Amino acid sequence: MTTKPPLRRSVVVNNPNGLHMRPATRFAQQARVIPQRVTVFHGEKRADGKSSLDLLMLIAMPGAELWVEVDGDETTDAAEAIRALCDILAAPGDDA
Amino acid sequence: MSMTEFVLRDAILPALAATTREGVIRELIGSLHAAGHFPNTDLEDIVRAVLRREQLGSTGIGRTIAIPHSRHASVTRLIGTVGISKAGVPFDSIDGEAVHVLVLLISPQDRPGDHLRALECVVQTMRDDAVVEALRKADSGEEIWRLVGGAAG
Repeated sequence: MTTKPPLRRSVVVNNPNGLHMRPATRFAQQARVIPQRVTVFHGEKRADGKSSLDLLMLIAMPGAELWVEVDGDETTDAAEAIRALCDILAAPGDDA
Repeated sequence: MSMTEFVLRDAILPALAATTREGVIRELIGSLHAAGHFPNTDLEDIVRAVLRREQLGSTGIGRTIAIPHSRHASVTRLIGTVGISKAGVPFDSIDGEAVHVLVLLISPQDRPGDHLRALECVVQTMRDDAVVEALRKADSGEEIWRLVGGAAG
């Protein structure tokens, strides 16, 4: 049996401050809710989506294109999870 | 990038006296002010900005480390300092541990890249448990300066 490829979505960071500590923390908290592995790619760099510190290492500036991967396929709850995760990265800002 | 590009050597505090989250933040910002990078009239406003940021969620990242920070128009370049609390400070950190190693950052309003690179640099430096341990034991600003990447002397 072959291993299925993970779900993969691209998303642009819209926060004017980039992927800073608060959105990174929010993303990691959301990623930890699901059992599947979550990985975020920025060019050659990759981060464990469940670690806010790993996400900070991506240095994702405003306008950066990231790829989010969640193990699973369209028929699983991974599809809903990846949408919610991408929404956090695409959010246009926050209150500080 | 090295932390020494933004940490002000003269503002490093090897033995924080305060024992509360607000107290250590005030102490660190006071030390940055004493190093001469923003006017006294902005001091209280910077303290309030950093405390406001803490209210949105603790910057205690776990493993006894916190990175309190804010943007503020008063600074023209990103500046920071390091403070060590031997006793530990309750910080509402993600792992619930008291904080011993603090890195405080103030960045200009319009340079998100500088802030992101500084955060990355701090996280990268602090990944090494041996560095964190050595910082906690450090007795002088000079020792801390060397541990965050500065040259001796």
